[in-house]
Amino acid sequence: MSRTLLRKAHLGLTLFVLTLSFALTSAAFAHTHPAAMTPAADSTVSAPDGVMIHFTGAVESKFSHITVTDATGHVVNKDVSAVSSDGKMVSVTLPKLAPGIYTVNWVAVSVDSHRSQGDYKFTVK
Amino acid sequence: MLKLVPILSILLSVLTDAAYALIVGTLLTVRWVEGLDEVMREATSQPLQPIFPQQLQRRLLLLCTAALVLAHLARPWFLAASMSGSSDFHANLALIPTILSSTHQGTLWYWNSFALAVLLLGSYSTSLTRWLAPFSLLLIAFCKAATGHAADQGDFTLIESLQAIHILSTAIWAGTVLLSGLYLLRRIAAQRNPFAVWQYCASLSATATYALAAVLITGIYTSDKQLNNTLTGLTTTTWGKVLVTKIVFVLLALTLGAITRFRYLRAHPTPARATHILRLLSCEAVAMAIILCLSGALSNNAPPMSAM
Repeated sequence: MSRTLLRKAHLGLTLFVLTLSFALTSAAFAHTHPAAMTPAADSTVSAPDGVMIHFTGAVESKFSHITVTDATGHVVNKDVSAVSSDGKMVSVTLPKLAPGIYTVNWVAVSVDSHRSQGDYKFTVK
Repeated sequence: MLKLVPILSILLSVLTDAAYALIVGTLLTVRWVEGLDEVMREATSQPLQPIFPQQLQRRLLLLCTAALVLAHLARPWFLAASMSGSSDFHANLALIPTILSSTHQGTLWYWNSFALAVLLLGSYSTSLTRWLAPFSLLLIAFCKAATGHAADQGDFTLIESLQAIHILSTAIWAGTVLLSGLYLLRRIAAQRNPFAVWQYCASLSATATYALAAVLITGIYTSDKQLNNTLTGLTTTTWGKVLVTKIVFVLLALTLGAITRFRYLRAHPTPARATHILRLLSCEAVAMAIILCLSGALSNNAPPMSAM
């Protein structure tokens, strides 16, 4: 293989890897979202003592919270939610829940200041 | 107002990134042109204007530092808007004390204030600039890394440090290319000394290559740690489309830089080739400006994987 061809192949490979690197780096900037929930989404459980959500990254305690509502939309948690010391878990204690469908609404503000929110349901048997 | 906040937030990011890159670019290019001024003075009997006059350097540094300070002062309000999800001016204003006193972003805002104060102090004298500016620029890069997603797993981690190097190396690449393509190389080319163009471009090309190597290594590491199958959203979301557009311009800038380095800088210096290099670098600088704008748009948009 000639030297010019080698140089062109080297240049092409460098451009490809660099482009891939830029693509992957930018793609990496995703926001914090739930990694695990207790009770799990769409699960049927006995009346739980509380709801816990583990997030993919640390969240800001002053701006991240959970509320649990019943089928009529009334908030059932009496206490405000708390954030763990490592910032990756938000939890809220619950009173004894009657059988029915409940919705968990969560708001998470990651340490990079981005806000994400969502909800999911679980059923108490 | 609701639509205006994200646009203003993007503009703030672009302003900050551009000002930071231009400060880094100024501090580096000043060293390259100092030697060139001497060479050109010896080559001609006529009195020559310095390529990068000291007064202009000082004004540019002060202007860019002022832009960083203004963006920094406005940032708490935009943090409040981002955290609260509201665009209400007064409500967000009321949240600023809470953000500054009890959030990760608030702590870093104070560190960034310290870095900017040092940078401002350094911009008053040339000797102070040489000592204080690198320290403050490094601290600003760390603050920027620590306010981004790299800080999600904690502070002073390897990933956060590499992200800081990524920010700094991107600023070196963007700053030197912008300044060279839009101003300095035109000044050098106007002296009609192709050897000076070659000498300057050799420094620029070597620096850009090292900066790109750092961007590549740190980029691959941070991607490997943080990526979770998000490439599927590249063509279906606004975020993905902006990213694809950015990649196109990055490729364009890389191609232009590669042509300059491999085709022209390895050939014998001639005025015609110097003109070609000037055109290529001007195009690369425009591509770099567009890349900075697209980066601002990306950092203020949620990527596909956050949608749940």
